[in-house]
Amino acid sequence: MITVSQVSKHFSGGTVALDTVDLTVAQGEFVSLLGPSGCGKSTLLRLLAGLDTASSGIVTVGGLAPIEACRRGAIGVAFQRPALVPSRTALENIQLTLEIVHRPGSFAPEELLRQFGLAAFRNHYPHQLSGGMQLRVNIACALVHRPEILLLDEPFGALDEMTRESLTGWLRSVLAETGQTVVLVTHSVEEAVTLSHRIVLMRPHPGRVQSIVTVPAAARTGDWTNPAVVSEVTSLRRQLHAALPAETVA
Amino acid sequence: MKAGFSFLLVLLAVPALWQIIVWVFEPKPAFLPPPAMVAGVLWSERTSLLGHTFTTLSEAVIGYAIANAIAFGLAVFFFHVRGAERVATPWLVVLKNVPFPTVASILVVVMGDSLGPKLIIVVLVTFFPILANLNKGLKSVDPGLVDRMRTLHATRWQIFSKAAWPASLPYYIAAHEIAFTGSIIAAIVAEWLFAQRGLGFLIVQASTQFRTDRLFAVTIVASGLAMLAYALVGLAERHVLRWQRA
Repeated sequence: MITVSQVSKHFSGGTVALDTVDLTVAQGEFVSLLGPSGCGKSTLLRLLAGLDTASSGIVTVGGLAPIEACRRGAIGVAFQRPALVPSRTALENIQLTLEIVHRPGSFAPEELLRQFGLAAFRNHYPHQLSGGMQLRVNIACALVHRPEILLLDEPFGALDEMTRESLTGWLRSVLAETGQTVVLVTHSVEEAVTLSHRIVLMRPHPGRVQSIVTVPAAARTGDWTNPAVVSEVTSLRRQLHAALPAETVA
Repeated sequence: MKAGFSFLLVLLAVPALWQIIVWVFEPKPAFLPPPAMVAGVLWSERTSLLGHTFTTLSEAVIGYAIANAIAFGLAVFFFHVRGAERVATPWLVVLKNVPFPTVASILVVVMGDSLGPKLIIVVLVTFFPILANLNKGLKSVDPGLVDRMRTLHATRWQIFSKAAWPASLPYYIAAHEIAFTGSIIAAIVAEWLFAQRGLGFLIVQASTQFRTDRLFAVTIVASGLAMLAYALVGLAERHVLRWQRA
């Protein structure tokens, strides 16, 4: 479980990235942080990942301070740009996580690559992989030590629409098996709707939580051939667009 | 294969052009000795040339190894200790810009004609490109990768060895292309300033005796050494950075 209580983050120069933010994410829940640029969603994710500290307020991850959760290997993070070592193959990049974190019950890297449809590319270097493949390896790196919490910062943000849609479906099926708690930062309403249990709408200057929307279970199946799903998603999209300034929604 | 052929072509073209100039303009051998004459010196004085070459090569390699050790140590120190680079940089810039012939003269006065001054000259010439490139390479590490490792609670050593060091390798190898060949030139110049052995000493001796043929012979040997050093760096690059060609 993740708890964010009255958290503010001020940067030098007077920028208020986050202002008294409250948020709770239950175990096994998938929550998306959605909002325009500058609303503090990536800052919030960095606080959860222990990469930054809050100026005030309390952040706990599984009842621990984020840095302690990191020490225990409870957190996996995947950023928008694949964080891979260019001189290591796909397999070696996944193994890198296990060279640092020693956790019982970790996935076997080869098995994970097979599940991710990358078995044939295990010995390929990152520059030999397509953008979509690199992102899958990136997520495998974040998942391999079986962390309780997965933090994803626009993991498909740099991809074209088709690849993005296909990878969103793929991620949904992967996470259905692992059952992790996930916090996803995204600009994409579709991505948030089809993946999340709840969507946290944020607004900028200063970054605050504007509202929290619960996504109907039917929408999360992502079955776009089902009229009921399309209707639910459309209705939810209307709510989201109404809540956010039109020019800021991707 | 094509690159090798081009190299061979240039290698043959230089003496061919040289011979043509000798045939056409017929300069005095004291100004431009014919290739055959220089080849004769290379053969007849091979024992002496080998001995002097060994001296120069030893100074270059030892000085180069010391430069590497210092540059690597400093780069690692800068990487781990925040602010250390900022404090050290002005001193390093001063050291880099002191003209090394004057440093060499001071060293000879203080240390005498020994190995020390020559090694220090080689270190001064080769140390900076290695440090600068290594430093730049370590800083080129993907910040996203460092963040990923921090979320795994990686130690600073793990971040260095598994992310920063691999990122710096292309820069480090590129530094050797300059510094390794530079170490041979530096050793020769140091010997040219003060020495009783080595290719630099031979150059001084040949000039004072107006032995242009020997000067040419030494130049050929020195160029060969520098090319060998360059080729060795190329081999190391192909091995260490083989993933780039995959």
